Amino acid sequence: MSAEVEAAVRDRVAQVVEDVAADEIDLDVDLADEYGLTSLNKVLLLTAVCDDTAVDLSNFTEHDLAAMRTARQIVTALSAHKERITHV
Amino acid sequence: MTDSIVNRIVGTPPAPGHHLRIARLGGGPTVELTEVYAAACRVAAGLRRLGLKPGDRIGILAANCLEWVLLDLAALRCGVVTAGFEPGKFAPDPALLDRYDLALLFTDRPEAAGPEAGTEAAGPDPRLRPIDEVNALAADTGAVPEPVGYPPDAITTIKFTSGSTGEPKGLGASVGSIDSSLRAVQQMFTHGPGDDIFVFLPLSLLQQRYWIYSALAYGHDVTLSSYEAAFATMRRVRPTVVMGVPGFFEAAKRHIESEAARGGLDLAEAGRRLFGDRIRYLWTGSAPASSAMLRFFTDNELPIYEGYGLNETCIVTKNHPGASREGSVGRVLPGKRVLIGPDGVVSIAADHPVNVRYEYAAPGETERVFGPGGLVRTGDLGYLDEDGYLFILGRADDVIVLDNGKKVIVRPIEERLRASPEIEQCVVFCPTQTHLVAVVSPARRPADAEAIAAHLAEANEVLAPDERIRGVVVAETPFSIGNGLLTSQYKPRRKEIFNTYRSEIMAIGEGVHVC
Repeated sequence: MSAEVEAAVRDRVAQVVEDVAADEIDLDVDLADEYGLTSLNKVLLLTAVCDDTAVDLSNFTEHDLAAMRTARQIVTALSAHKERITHV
Repeated sequence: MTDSIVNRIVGTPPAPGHHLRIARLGGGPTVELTEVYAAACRVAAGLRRLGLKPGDRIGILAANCLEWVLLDLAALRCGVVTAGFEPGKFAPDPALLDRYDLALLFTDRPEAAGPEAGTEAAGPDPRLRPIDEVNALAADTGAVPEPVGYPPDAITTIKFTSGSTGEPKGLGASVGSIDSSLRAVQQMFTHGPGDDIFVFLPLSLLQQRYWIYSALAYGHDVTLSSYEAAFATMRRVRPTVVMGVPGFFEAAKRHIESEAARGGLDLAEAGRRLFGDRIRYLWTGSAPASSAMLRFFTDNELPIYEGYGLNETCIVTKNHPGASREGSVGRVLPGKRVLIGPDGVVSIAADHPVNVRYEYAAPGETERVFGPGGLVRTGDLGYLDEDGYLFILGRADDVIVLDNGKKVIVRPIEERLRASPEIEQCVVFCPTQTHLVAVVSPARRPADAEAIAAHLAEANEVLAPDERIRGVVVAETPFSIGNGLLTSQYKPRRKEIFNTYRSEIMAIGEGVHVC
């Protein structure tokens, strides 16, 4: 997993969930159930993290987004594309 | 029939130079509208080859895609009636075909492939067709059928309500109602070359297909996206118009505010970074919008216009650049009439009603909603001001009669509470006919009970004594479509919310309680 992507995901989740610090975000809980992210919040979160990390959101499909339920799943998915960018 | 826009778009190639762009995640094609028209003609030939005749009915249950557009236009050309089903709300199974008399159902849902081979019920129903099959139909070399000439009362499609409970109600939409809506919208907003209308809500909603029809009729671009891709693609596509619902624009507002604070930007610049730099206006409808949200966009160089209409009436009123009044839903469109009953309930009459009855609804529903000549009793409370602007106060069902005889309209109270940045949604109940209790969905978790209490105290100070909220139940889990407490258009499901929090609503004393 990319440390840069993880930091960006933590930062953006903490921005939505104001009372939890970035380093206290639990990467493995369901973002909707635990942190109350609506589906629109999740779309905006992914859009922002992709911007922050220079990963193109169009690498993913609508189905991929629906399957990303935890912060760790987002980090893992974006890290794979970040790796590709790094190695080009 | 000659002045029918529907007849024109099925029978006349569009002007060259304008495009339909598919902008889903992962990309999509951009197709000149002349080619969309030609491909739809070939698909129409293919539909005929499949044995479909005028008056037959096909279903489409798929996410927004080019094939959806081609099927819809092809069906229009050859007189086949469409029924658009919202993915996630309907299942692509034989029971759906039977219930809605569908000859075929085109779908992108994998579950439509049917039981696995070798099982007892192997083999999918041959009436279920993958929507990709449209691409094969578009290669049809058979004779293109002559376009159907529709009279105003002809039905081209079945549309379904997003009803809060039970089976969705369905009714046919008349050509006359589609024509008059397209014409009135064009008169107000003058879409034309240079415009690119951004559509991400499902095409199963007829009013979203209007923008495809508008592009063909009036010569402008249209971008078809998805809910998931909308925020990422708008700034790249740089549309001039975005069609949305209040829930979408509320989320966009919070994002813009947050990005502005984070990046030290002014709000207008943060807005341009999300919506692109060519926005002419934003369109909102389908649910009441908060005045704070409307003002935010308008103040930040993104004019937004709210309108009013039901599935049963199509668009009735709309604010627009030439006539807009804060707090109202706009003036009445040509061909529509708003009648306010002695009880304040709004009814709508139209020169070309959408229909005069439901085709699918529980017994008694048609009689409850439709009056003579297609008059629609909306169930909304409202009034027209001296200049003809319509103001909607709430649902007649949402008027609470207290035991002292005082009538309380809950929507303005709910809107006052929703003005807090800590409150995403709010529904007011009156459990014992003596006092009001609000159930709120917090804007963030954990909810800030202290801030909500402070806002409640402020709100109560300006409300009349009978309108004051005694207690607030804060839902631990925000209302969502997934947990069944919001409709697919982000409206709170009042009954479900009451049932979920019944014991807390009944037990709550004064103050704010997080449950």
